[in-house]
Amino acid sequence: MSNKEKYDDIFIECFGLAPDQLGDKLAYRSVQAWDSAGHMGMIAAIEEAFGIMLETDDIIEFSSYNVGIEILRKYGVDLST
Amino acid sequence: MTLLGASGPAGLAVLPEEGCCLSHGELGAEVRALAAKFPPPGLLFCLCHNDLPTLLCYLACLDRAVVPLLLPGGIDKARLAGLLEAYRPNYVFHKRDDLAGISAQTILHCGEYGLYRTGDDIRHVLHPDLALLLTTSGSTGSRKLVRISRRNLLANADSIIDYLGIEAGERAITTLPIHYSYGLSVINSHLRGGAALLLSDRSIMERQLWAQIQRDGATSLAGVPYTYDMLLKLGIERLKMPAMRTFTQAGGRLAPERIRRVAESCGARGMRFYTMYGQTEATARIAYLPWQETLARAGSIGRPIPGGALWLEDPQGLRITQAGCTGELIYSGPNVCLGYATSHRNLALGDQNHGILRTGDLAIIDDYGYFTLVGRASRFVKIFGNRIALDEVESLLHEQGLSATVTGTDERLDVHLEGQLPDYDLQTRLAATLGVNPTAIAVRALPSIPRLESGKIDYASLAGILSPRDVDAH
Repeated sequence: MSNKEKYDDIFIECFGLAPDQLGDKLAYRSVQAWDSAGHMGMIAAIEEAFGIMLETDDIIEFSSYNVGIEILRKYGVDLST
Repeated sequence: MTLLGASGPAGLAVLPEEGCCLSHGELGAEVRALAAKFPPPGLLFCLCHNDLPTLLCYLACLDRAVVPLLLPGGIDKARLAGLLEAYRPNYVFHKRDDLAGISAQTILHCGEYGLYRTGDDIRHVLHPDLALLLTTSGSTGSRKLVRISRRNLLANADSIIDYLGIEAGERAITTLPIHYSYGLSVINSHLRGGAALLLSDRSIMERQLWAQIQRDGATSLAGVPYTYDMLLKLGIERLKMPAMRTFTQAGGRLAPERIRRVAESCGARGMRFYTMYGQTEATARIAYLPWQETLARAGSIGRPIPGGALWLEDPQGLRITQAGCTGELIYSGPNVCLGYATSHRNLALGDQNHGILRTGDLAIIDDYGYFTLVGRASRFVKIFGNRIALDEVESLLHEQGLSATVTGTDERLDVHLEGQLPDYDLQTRLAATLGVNPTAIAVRALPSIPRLESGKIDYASLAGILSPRDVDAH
């Protein structure tokens, strides 16, 4: 499974989304399941899937699907494909 | 109503996320201006968000003897319909885009909000002492409300000001919803104490909240256990909050191990960490542990707040004084609510509690007068005749390093594990510990435990998660 597929699966699984809901518009509070509890679960799933520990600022900045891709790049996780 | 005006008018009272700040004098003027346009006394449903219009509406209601029921802005439609039917409000205050259909006629606009007549002209008989209605903590779908008086509000605010030492220089960030008694107590105590509120409708996980904490110099933050789970995940040492001096925690049990972690991090930053206990039925606060004791007595709810008394009773109603013996925790104080309501007809009732509240919590007292909760009188299940306190099972699992919520019926104990299943057979091990058959225990891992807006565990929806099939599968 590619990194991108893993990333997408986490959002689909954590927030109960359909694949076509992923993308530009997906952000904190844009879907009901992405609240503070959903955010905690999603961050934990990301950390586990990619074997990383996110910094405090990055957990708080992780405010959308797209921003997350940028943040993970800093940790050497390439989601370009 | 004197929630306002205890301090000089010039000090700041409200600093919103965006927009102008208001001094205590300006806030008082805004409240009086809104109150002057208010309709005659009656019952009002206020659909709250943590923002200035909601705050103004709440304060104007107190000023004008309009009794508000504070509800979450995002309230479930079916629940709202049930409350409308049971209480028949004359007025409703809500964000214009929050809902439509029950707002028959506009009285006024206030920012993004409107105050509307519902079209129900029923003339409620409102008891003169009744100031406010709040939903009971934790319950979903219930129509039961808590009736709170002016005296309750002022007495509890004064106690909180006293033990937290709230002074004019304090700036609390509103991390809990205003419709939740603990969140409201932060508002009441800070306004009455001449301090300031940083109004925010954001969660701990949003960068805008942290930007506001930094920009406006928040000095205190209030949280439920789940707030502290998030703060620990973020790393309290690394958070940018230069003016922060005080963390407070209430709204449920935070595991002692976590209390110690928070207390140590706070200590390293020169901050105070208070763990506290309360119920909506006591307006908010019942007991607190002085911050100097938090580390040494982690897990204790401490002592009664100033002006209140706490004791334990056995099932026969006899007072327990011996250290270490379990009894029901009973509280007495001027903040004990008037009583409950289940329909609008109850709003004429006066004080039914006479200052005494049976908390329904089981506790022990130590030789020094500190109380510790050991379970909930009603959160018991009886499996094959074994009486099991669900809170004790949760504690047991916490001690094993598992974050779990336990629900149950009389046939089965449901363990909802946050995160991964452990690499051993938890079901068998727990069954052995509790002395019950493993088939009576169901274990399931969830990515996160469902929670209510207040941050409390949503037991009702948890109870629906485990289906009988899951039990067979184990």
